[in-house]
Order: sequence, then C-alpha cells, then structure tokens
Amino acid sequence: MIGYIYWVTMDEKQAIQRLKTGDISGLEFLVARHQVKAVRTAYLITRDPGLTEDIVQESFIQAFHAIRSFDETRSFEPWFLRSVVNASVKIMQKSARQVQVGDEADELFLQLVERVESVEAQVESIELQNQIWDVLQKLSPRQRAVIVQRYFLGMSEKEMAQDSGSAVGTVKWMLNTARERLRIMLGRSER
Amino acid sequence: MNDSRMKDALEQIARRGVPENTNLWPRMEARLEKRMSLMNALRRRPLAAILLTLIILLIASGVVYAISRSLGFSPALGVVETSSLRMLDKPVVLERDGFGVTVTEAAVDDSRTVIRYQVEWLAQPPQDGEFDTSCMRTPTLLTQDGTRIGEGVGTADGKGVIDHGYWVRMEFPTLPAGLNNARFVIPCLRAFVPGSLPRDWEFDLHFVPWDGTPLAPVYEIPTATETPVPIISTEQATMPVTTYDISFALEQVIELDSGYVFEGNSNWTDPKIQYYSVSPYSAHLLDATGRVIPLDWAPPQSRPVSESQNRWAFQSVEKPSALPLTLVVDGYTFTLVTDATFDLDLGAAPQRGQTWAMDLDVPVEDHVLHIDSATWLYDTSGNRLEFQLSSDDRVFGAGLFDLQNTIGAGGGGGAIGEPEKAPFIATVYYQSDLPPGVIHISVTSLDIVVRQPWQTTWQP
Repeated sequence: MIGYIYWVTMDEKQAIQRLKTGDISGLEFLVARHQVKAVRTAYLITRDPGLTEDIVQESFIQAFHAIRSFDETRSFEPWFLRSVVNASVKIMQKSARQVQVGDEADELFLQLVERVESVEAQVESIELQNQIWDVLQKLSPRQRAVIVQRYFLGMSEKEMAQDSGSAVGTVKWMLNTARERLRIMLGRSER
Repeated sequence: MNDSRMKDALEQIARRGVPENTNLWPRMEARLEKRMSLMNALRRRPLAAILLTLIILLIASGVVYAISRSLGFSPALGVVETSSLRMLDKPVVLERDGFGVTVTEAAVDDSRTVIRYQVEWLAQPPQDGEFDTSCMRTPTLLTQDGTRIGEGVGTADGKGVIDHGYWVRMEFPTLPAGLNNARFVIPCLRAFVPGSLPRDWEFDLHFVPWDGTPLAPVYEIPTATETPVPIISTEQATMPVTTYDISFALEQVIELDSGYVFEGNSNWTDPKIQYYSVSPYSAHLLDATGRVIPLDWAPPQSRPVSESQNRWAFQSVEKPSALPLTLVVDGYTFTLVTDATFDLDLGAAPQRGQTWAMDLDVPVEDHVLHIDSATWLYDTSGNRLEFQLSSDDRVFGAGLFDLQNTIGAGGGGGAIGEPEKAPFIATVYYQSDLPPGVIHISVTSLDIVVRQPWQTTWQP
C-alpha cells in the first residue's frame, strides 16, 4: 500500500523505517539525498543522461519494493548504488552501445595515462577529461562499472568485495584488468 | 594511475553531465501517484456533497449512529475525535513571489493537530532551469510566543498533486486546552518547478470549537473482535503446521456516501515472520442477503504500531443497504524468514547454458522445497543461476542467495491478487562466471499464501 505522505525532515534510518510502512515520504527523502550521486554513477557507465535518469528512477522504485528486506543497520547508499551500477551495466549489455576494443582504440589511450601521471593539475583540463571520457567508452560495461566503483564512488577493494559478495581476489582481479586496460589505452592515446 | 586524479577527473566529467540540481522526484511521484486512483477519486468528490448526503441519510433513516469516542472523518483531515475538536476558524492565505500558500483546513483534537495546506504557483513557472532542492527543513508548529510545539509528520494519505501545485496534510502534537492560537511555519516549498522558491512562510492560526458541522461517521470496532486467522485450508489439514500466532482485526468502518471503508490490521508475534509482511491478497463484502459487493484497496488512515503489525483497508464499490455486512478476507500472504541451505556441485568446468538436474528436497521450516533443477543463464538479463522450484500449495516463492559468490538475488513467485498454484523460479545473480565445484545456496525466505477466508460481521 502506498500512502501520500508529506515531506519531513528525518534521518536516513527514519526514512527507511517510514518507507517500510509504505510511507513514501521516506522515499522522497532518500531520492533527495542520493539522486545526484546515483545519476552521476549511472551516467559514467551509460554516458546517456536521459537513460541514466530512467535507470535511477527505476532503481529507486525497486528499492521501494525491496526495502522491507533491507537491514536498517547498514548504510543505504552502498546497497542502493550497487543496484544502480548493476542496472546500468545490464542496460548497456542489452544495448548496442557497447564498443569493442580494437587496435585503433588502444592507440588512443596510450599517451593519456602518462599525462595523468606526469602532468600536475591536469585533471581540470577539459581536454583530459574528454580523453578519459572517450577511454571509458572503450571499456566493457562491467569494467566501466568497476572503475566507477573504485574511483568515483571511492570504494575500497574490500568494500567492493563485501558489497558484491565476491572474494577480494575476484574484485582485485577485475579491477586490475579494467585498470590495466585503461592504463594501456590511456597511454596509447598520447603516442 | 594516480587514484586521486582519476577520481577528480571522473567527478568533473560527472558534474558536466549531471547538474547538482537534478530532481527526479516529480516524475517518480507522478508514477507512484497513478497507483492511488482510489484516493484520487475520493479527493475529487466534493466534501459538501458527502456531508449533505450524510445529513439526509441521518434524517431520513432515523437510525442512531453509535459512534464510539465520537470519531468523524473528512477527506481533508482524516479521522478526528470530535468531543474535543477545535477547527481553524478560516483559511489563511499568503502570497509571495508568484506563489500562494493557503492553510485550507486544520483541526485540533485531544491527541494531535492536523493541518492541510495547499501550494499553488500563481504565474506560469519557468519551464527550464535548475531545481532548488537545497531546502529540506520541516514545517513546524509553534505557540505565538515562539515555543515549539513540534515538527510535522506525514499522514497516511496526506499529499496530493493539483494542476498548478500540490497539497499536503500533516500531523503535529496537540495544542494544550485553552491554547487556540498558534504559529505555523513552512520553511521550504517542494521543488516541483525550476527556479528559486520563496522560503519561511509563517501563518497565524486561530482555532475555535467545532461547530458541529457533520463529519462522515466512523464506527470503532471493539478490539475483542481480533481473531486468529486460519493458517491452513481444509485440504491441507493433514499437514503439520506452525500457526505463527497471526490474527486479524477490523478496527473501524468509515461510512461515506458512496460506500464503506473497512480498516483493520494483521498482528503476529512469531519473529520468523518478516516485518510488515502479513497482508490480505483480496477481500469482498457480503450484505445481509448474501449478495457480493466488490471491495477495492484503500489507504489505511494510520500506520502499523510495530514491525509485527500490518494495516489494510478496503472500500466497497457501492453502498449496500441490507445490513449487517460481512467483510470476507479471501486469504492472505506473508514472508517467512528461513535458515536452510543446500549444495550444488557445478563440476570442474561449468558451462554457460548448462542445466543441473537436482531433484532435491530441502526441508525449510514446516515445508519441503523441491529443487528441480538449476540452469546457468547468460544473456542480456544478466549472469545468473535460475532454479526451478516447487513446494506444497502454501509456498509461492523463495529467496535464494549464494552468500559466498552472489552479487544479488531475486526471489520467485510474487503476485497481485491470489498467488497461483504453480512451480516457481528463484534466481541468483553472479558478477562473473560461475565458480567450479560446490556452491552453497541459502534459502533465506519463503513466501507463504493461506487461501482460507477470515471474516467478520459488522452492524453499525
């Protein structure tokens, strides 16, 4: 049952408790608190602003339906962002947007990683950001998601493992694979 | 690669693509709004028409309405206690910066203060621009000297959208007897339209004793009518069962001009039942002649008082005249928290598309979950193990997890209305290929349906 509930100030735990009773003011609070980071996370994986909003909206709706099984002693954000990441990857895997990495793409990336590592204060450079943006496009959705979790969401390998229920070694391997591919591709882009 | 630089770069990229003022809520709310067609219909019904009809009914029928605790209902304010009722003497309107806010109704009874207000944009709002979602403070009720009475909390059906704005109903602590003036502060408007929104709206409210204007009758049902629900149907009678100590109670009936709203609760004590999970799946009404009157779901007027309670409400699609009425809950569902495991040996080199015939019976609480098979599916829906399951006809879903390897899981079953008697599936998702060897699958929950009616007869 969904109730029409008013916006109230509450902490996250209260919001979740309210949502568990069908009070959508709890969802409104959670949307307000987490939507920007969630949309940005999805955007980095999908590159499509319109699509990301749909993904995040759907993820919030799914969270609403699944909230009764959520353990309130845990933080909502990792639980929710995991679903956003997974939904983004799934959508991209379904779409034809996935770009296969080829020699030409590899060539693009080579110089870039060297610039990231060697040039001071270059990250503010629009050009550099564009290059990284292009590089991300060349990764598989799952590799992109791993990069986003590690660098954008700031998750440690241990957290990623705990969050995904995978062994740390598995996460480390996936991250290294994605990072290595990124490194190679970024590096080649500046040759 | 320099981690912090990569993080900074990704943040800059994300900021370029997604502005800080992103606001998903209006669209989401519109989606959720559609589910509330019943309440929409109720809101569209003019209060005056309801009250007029009720007055006519009262006069014409000569029936004495026994209203316990003198409760009354209005669509604007919900259920209020009338013996101590004070009402807002007149609406209070403020207009500022192209917005109008009107406190349309308010009431104080012995337990709470209810305030309903409406926000409208008086001019065409900008179509583009940034949404101001930075203001998140809560409306507050104060005495006129500034003493804080309390912050507002949402009511069970306390918000709606209109053409050029929205309305809100919320509850505050009651005002002390004799205190008839209060200050109501709305710090923030909701970011329904782009652009900056005027803040800190203050209203001086004045309450007067209720003038006796009729409210829709609310009939309270004595709590003694709370009765255990059948846990097992006749054809299942030979099966051992745990009763879980579930009971249903009809708490109140609201008499509208168009029908009756029956509100009650489900209660239980067994901690194995997931919180808030016991719910009827459908219900109907019988009049004194045995005629069936369909019921629609309606939003309950109040919230569960604990995690071991759920609330439900049904509204009749017409107003039967042959009384008494019998409310029949056709059956109910709940989620049972379980702790069982089974193993699946995937072999040394599991292959995508491979199916493992299992034919395994797993005892789970009072049930036996039959694991027919598992198939490794790898397609656009994800990398997953899909289990084909069946059980007795009380089980219509199960939650499975591979706690060592999984990245997520989906239960089987799930239904609107009565769950079907059929095999079901449960899915366990994996981030990468399935590991070789034995995996341990946990059965963390079962979805249970009881197809046995519970009923109670009500005479106003």
